Amino acid sequence: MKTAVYLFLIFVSLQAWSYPEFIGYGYSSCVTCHYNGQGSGPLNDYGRALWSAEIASRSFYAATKTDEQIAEGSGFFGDPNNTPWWLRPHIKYRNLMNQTSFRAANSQSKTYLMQVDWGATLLLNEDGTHVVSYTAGYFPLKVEDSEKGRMSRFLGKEYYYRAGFAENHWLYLGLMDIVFGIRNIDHTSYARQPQRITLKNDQTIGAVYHFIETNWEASIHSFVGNPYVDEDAKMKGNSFKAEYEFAEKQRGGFSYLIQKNKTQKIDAVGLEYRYGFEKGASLMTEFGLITDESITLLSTKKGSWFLIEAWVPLARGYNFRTLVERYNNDFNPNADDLWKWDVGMMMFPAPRLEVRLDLLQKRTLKNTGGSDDSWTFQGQVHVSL
Amino acid sequence: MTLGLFRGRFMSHFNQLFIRVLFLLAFSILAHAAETKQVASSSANIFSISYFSWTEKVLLDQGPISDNTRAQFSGTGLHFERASSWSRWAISPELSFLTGAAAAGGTSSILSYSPPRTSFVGLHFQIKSDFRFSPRVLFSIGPGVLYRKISFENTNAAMSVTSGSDFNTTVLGELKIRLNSNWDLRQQLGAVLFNAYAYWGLGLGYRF
Repeated sequence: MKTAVYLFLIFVSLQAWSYPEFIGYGYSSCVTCHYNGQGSGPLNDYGRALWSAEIASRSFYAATKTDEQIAEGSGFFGDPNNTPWWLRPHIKYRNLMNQTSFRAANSQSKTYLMQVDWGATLLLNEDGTHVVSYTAGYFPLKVEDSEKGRMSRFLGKEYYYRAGFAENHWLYLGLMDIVFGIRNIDHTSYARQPQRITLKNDQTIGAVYHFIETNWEASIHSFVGNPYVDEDAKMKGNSFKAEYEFAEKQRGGFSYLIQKNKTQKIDAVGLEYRYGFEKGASLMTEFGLITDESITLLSTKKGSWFLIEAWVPLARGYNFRTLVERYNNDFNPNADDLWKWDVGMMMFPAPRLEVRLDLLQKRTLKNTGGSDDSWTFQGQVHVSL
Repeated sequence: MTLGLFRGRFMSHFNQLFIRVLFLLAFSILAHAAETKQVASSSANIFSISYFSWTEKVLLDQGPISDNTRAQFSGTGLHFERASSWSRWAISPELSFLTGAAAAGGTSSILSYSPPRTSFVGLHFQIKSDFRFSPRVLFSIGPGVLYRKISFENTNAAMSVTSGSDFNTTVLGELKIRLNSNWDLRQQLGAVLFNAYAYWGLGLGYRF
């Protein structure tokens, strides 16, 4: 019955981050819910309905209201029929409260405007195989911007043309996130930041070919850099990613990345595993090797990263989450091991609303000498319209 | 929630926070627990291996001058746990053998102290209160006793060096996920209470 409702309804898409953790619900591939088959960006009709009817809490709805009715009423203007079938606008807002040195005498609390995105996806045909999607994002002022007289502004953050043909083949042309590994939304993650593939600042102009079969998929990405940085700073390169579902709700994957600019070259290879071990619960792990070469300093460091995340639904819409990360930038006994432990709650108290609470501990393990742990408490609110 | 018994100059605010967070977690789990029916019970022995770490406060005393720095312990733990029951609630004792190395010094501002990396061995015994949240998810929390033997090098005869405490107490929370019928993934997070800070461990367990 739910499937029939999803197929029947025409909804406004929601801008949202992808959650590979949703393999716990049986949604292994990002293309199920997103126009961008790699994940993140606007949700398609099915993804929006799924979010409302299965993932978000229904605490604020009357018990007599069915999940299908909740899904029907979650369009951009409430009634989805108010929006033409070919137009899917989206808006997203994300705010972060960050308290460092949590509970210590020198504790500092700051609030960051993390994200203000708006845009639309235009469906060029009714089956949605051909779309043009545009998202503008708020980019805060940087020091170098003010020196050059620039102002904080909205810039195109993601824009692409998607073409689907022969059922399994998809082509994307435009400004997108780099295809690599588990698409972790945390831009400070050790699986994203050292590799320069954060979902915050490292979008790139390029082409993605994506092949999808029933239980496996593969992508190739060729890119020429972020259009908002100087030519010498643009990271250009290629990446490859493949995933295989070898058992129900269990996926293994492999990724490779090579990118460089005038001063830096990065090679990275990653192995990933995602497991939906119970309804709504998942385990994700990624391990990778990275070579970071400074072309100007003629130095090369070979390091590794590791992450493991557990996601346990305590109740519908309320999820307990732990994340452990480790990063070492050099296979050298004297190189530091950076560890990060994150314990928190990921909550969807209502459709289009996400609240996160995280307690973050960072520890640096050195070969000689100790150091203080750092503690950070974070609270985030995301609103997707 | 305040644990007056443990407040004092030996217990860092981090440890106090941990205890509060762990109790809050335990409460929230109970508040959101779904069905109340009993899950079929069985006994299990679990042998685990983990990578762990904790930090200790190192007190430096040289006559009238005092200072402090940090020592970070990390290594491999071998754990034997007897899960007494697999009903919704259970009590499980666990004995662990710990071995690794500690790096200390380098952060003091008045007295200089930078010993080489030093090996240690230790034992940890914990009584866990287990809550089976679902067939594959187990939350645990409980107190423990930690003993570790380490002798940091000190070439300054005029200065005494005291790291943490040879015998210490812990409060550790644990998330155990059953990967399959034999293997568990375990994550531990908690506090070493006296002159020490957060403890964490990540490992795999085999049940037999």
